Amino acid sequence: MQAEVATYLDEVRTHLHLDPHTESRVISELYSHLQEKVSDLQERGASELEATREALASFGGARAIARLTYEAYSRGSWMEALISCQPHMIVAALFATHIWRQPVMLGAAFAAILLTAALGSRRGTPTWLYSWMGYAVFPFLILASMSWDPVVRTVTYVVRGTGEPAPVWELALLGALCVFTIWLVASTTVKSTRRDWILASLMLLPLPVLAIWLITINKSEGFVLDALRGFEVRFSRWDAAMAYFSATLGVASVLFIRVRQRVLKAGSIFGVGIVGGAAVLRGFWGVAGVLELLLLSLALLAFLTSPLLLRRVIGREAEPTVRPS
Amino acid sequence: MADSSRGYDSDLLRGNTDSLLLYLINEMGQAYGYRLIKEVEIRSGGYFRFKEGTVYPALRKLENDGLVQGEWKKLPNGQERRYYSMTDQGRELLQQKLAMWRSFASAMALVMKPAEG
Repeated sequence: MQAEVATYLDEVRTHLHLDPHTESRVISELYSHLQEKVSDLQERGASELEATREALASFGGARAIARLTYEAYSRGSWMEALISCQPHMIVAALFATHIWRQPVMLGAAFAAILLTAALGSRRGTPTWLYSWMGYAVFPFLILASMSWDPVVRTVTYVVRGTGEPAPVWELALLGALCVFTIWLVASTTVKSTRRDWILASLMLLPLPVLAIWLITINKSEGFVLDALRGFEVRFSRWDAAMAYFSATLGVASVLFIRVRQRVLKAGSIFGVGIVGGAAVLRGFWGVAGVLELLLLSLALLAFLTSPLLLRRVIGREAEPTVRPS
Repeated sequence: MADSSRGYDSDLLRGNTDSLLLYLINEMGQAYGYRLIKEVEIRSGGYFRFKEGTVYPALRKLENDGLVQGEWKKLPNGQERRYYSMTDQGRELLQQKLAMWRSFASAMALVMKPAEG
């Protein structure tokens, strides 16, 4: 009985996509049901094998049960939806008011995001946390992107023999920062993917557009220089686009929390991430053609669905399905 | 959720599963999933048959809506079982559903009575 039931419950668990604690509780409840049903059938004269097969047959298909269970558990409250959309709204406000140019305000906003993400991860990693985690890695991306200048200066000095190389301590510090940033993004993505790839996609949602915005700003004037010089008309249009995009991500995260069906959850983040992202990036680069937009959309789709491929490579959080009593 | 080969549209039972579960939990005081399924089967003379695994998502939705309250209890054999009991909100909704069902059933019976003569 144990082997067939365990195989069945393993299949249910594979398609549950819930947090490990909830999954264990769900599986315990189903296991207890199946055990009692098998005992009942055996008391009525069935062999253990017959009883097990009948119990599993009357229980329903593992995937269908997993889907219904996911839908029953996956809908968050309005409060969770509200918390989930906050980081997007904070970033939208930073762009809408151009406050991101003030290092103190920018630092304060991201410190609040980092703190909330840290507190959330200590409280069982609720679903709303994944929106916050996406922005929590962003300050490190900003710092890492700023590290290119000393690297370029040093490489130019070594190759061409012109200019001044950066001091070794500065290069070592920046190297360590880059390694830490890559480790942070990779480990957070892997950890999220192990729980549910769609949560990792939710986390990665703002990153491609923010990263490209950062590179564009950095190439034009330099992030810090621009911040110190203050408002420039050329960036005003991008600020508005980024504000709208971030607010739209906020709406998508509310939908993600509130809808029950997995396909709708995926649709809400992929739809906004791809269409909104392509529209914003078109504004950055001035891409006009249908082919360019299509390629851009495909690149965004590939990035946002990368956790699905990653999940196939790394597998899921492993826990024993049936805990012997 | 229901077995349509038993002579009724499965949607009919699916639409009333919540009422059946609420009614039984209210009457039994505390009940767990398997016991509820057996009770439905016994009381309906085997007419209503659920795909048993679908009862748990239904119970979870009732719990999410604040209509029932789940509680894990340890059995003498060390295993745990989740028991469900009614909340005040659940009782209130059940009364409304019962009143609605009785009116509906009476009206249906009045309209669909066999032709006389």
